Amino acid sequence: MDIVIELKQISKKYPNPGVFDEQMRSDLGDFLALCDISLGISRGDVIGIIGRNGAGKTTLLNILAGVLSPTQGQVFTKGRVLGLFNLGVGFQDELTGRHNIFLNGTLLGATRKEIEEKLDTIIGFSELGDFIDMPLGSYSQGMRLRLGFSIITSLDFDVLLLDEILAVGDLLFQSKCFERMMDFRRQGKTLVITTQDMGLIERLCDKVVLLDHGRVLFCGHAEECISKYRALLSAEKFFVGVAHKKIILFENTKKWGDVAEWGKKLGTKEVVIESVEFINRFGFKCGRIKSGGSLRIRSKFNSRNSVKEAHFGAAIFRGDGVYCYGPNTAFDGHLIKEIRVGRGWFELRCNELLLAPGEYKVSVAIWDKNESLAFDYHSGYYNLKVDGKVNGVKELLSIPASIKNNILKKDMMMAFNPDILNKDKTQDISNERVKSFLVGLVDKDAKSREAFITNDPASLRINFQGQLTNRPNYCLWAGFFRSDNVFCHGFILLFNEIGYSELTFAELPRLPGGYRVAAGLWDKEEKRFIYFCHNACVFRTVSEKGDHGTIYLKHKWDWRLP
Amino acid sequence: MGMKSFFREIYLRRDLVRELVVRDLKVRYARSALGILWVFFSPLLTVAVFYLIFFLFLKVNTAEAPFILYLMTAVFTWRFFQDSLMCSVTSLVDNRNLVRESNFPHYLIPLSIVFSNAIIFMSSLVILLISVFVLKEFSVWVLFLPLVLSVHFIIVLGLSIISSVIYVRCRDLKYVLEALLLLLFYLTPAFYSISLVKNSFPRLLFEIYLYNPFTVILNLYRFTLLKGCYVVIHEDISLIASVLSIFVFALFVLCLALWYYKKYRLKINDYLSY
Repeated sequence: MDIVIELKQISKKYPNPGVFDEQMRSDLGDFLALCDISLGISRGDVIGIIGRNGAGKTTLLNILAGVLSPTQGQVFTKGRVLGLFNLGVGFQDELTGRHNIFLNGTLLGATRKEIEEKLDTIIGFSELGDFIDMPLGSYSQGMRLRLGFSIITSLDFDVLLLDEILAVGDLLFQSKCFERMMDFRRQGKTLVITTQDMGLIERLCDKVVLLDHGRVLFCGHAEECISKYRALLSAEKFFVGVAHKKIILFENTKKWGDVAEWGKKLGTKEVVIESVEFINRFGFKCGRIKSGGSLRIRSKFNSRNSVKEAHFGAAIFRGDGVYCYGPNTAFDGHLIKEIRVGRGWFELRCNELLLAPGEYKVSVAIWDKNESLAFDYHSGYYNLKVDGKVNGVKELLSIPASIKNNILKKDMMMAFNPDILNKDKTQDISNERVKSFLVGLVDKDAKSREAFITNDPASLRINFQGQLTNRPNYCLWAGFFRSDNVFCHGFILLFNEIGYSELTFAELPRLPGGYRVAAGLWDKEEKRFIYFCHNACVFRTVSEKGDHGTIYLKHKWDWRLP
Repeated sequence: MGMKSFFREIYLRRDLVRELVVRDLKVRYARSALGILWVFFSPLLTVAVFYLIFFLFLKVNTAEAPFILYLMTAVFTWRFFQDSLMCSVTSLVDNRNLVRESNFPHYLIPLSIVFSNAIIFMSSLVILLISVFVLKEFSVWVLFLPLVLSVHFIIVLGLSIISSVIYVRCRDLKYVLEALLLLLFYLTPAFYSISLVKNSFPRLLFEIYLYNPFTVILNLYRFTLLKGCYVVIHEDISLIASVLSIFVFALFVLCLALWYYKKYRLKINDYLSY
């Protein structure tokens, strides 16, 4: 293979331009635009370079063209390398298009004679017509591209570099450019292009290089590289620079309701909530909902004054004040510009009410945009009963889980009533026969993690080693607690031979905050834990939304404004 | 970079230099009513102002030659020097879009500016030659004028290249140069006779004053154009020493420029990129 360009471990560093002091410069850090890039380009290669903005594509092309020199490493080029970079570079606005052809052409290394010979071809290809004798300042971006592309592709070259330029041309010209590039490909010329147009890359390039933050992430066939690029794009939100590389996440949220205000109707009463109905999955009004069933909370309101930028909210609390879930339309990004005078309703729809059976209180409210002033707020005013099979321990949530290597022991739940779960009993119980008892949460890639995003999938792994005889007498227990010791829910598992169990949650619908997992070994005959660890595993959840409460219930809003 | 490759590069890229010079001239006089005629009017106006102030108001006179010719030699040559330098200083930064297009040698840009200023200088020189023909007579020394011109050109080119490269990194240079050029202008015998300063300096300082390159080049211009100019101070200035010193200086400046450019060549585009 005839190598035309070879890059050997090149790096490019831009010093921080605002800082003159050497000491400060080393503290602030220079910008490493390219890092350790090695690349060989053979004659006839058509190479695409893709990557996000700021990934180093233009810098790389500039180095290939010899306009910039690498801070480290070596560049070998053979033959004439031409580059068409940012539009307008190399053009002089005061001069006419015709004159710019000569200036630009000689700048690119052609002689005047050569340009004179090709002048007609250049003007013809550019289709600029009479504009060719107008000052370049009067040209649009597309016309500049036409001129620039026409000049550079009419000259003799061995390697042509094109930097994200074709996007400005109209469709007709783009296809013309494409044809010309295909011609070059057939002629066996070397092309290096960067573009965000993946279709172009796919059709034109034999080999694609994916750059990210100045490094070569992948180099290979177009399809594979493009799919990797797409994956990269969806993987994280992008910010240039390290300092800004943070996503705003909520790390905590309201966990308790204001019990003292329950049963009150607060607010300015500009809009009045007239009635609240709970509707079950059959569409009937009722006060009882099956655990795991669907629930609609419909509030009818009457607006006495026209109000602007309102939002609706609903919240569910347990009887003792534990905040279960409180979404509102603002958290979900809905905007209600104005409520005019008249009657209307709003509705929160939950398909799966993942609450444990018990008595709950419901608040509904219509707030102003900052949630500082309620138009009407019925705090803990309504009673909701969730039906279902009650276990021995009072749970808060009922989150579905699938189990590997084990069996969920539902029939034993009735008999299971350990007093160790009470708040004040925090003493662990140890047992000399238990050698190790490991509990951990892993994500979908089986990586152990301490922080999860709300609704990420997760699995709880329990690994037990020890010598226990009469195994059928024992069972494993694992329970989730909030960091303020509110018991959320627990699982009883059969004690098996392998000593390894895995509880998988398709989604971990916990709202931001700290949580812990307690786990232990329960002796059925003696009705007590023979081994118990309160903090078997600690984890946090964060969320992009600020919803209040403990559990995230998938929901939808619906409303009818007057 | 050797001197040889410097000239070879210029020769190879002569078409580009030509385009750049034409561009410079076109852009400079674009959209003015008189257009290229300003090449003649502009230096004449400057001379007129100096003539008005120093000859008519301040009654300065020179024994060497008619005052108007004495003034013209100084103003025209100085304008060439000053305009070239002041345009070149910012040239790399101003033309960063050209510089970043392709990897041609950067010094072609100050070179083209010096060239275009030289063309303007030539046209004002025509005025001067006509004036000399009318007011005085030519001597055989005028044949040495091309030599003086080329030495002057080399000095201006060298200083332009150096200052344009420095300016890329250090943008204060422009203001420093402005002040420095003003001082230098008054330190050369532009509109006063050398004999005037002879007695106000100690001998050593006077020697330095006489052999500073800018005085020397002006004296050489006057020597070739206005023969007999140095009757008054003939005993003070050695012609051979002047010529030698200016040749050495020109060579030094050009070498310095090439050395300095070679040293910073790779960094220029980095500094122009942001």
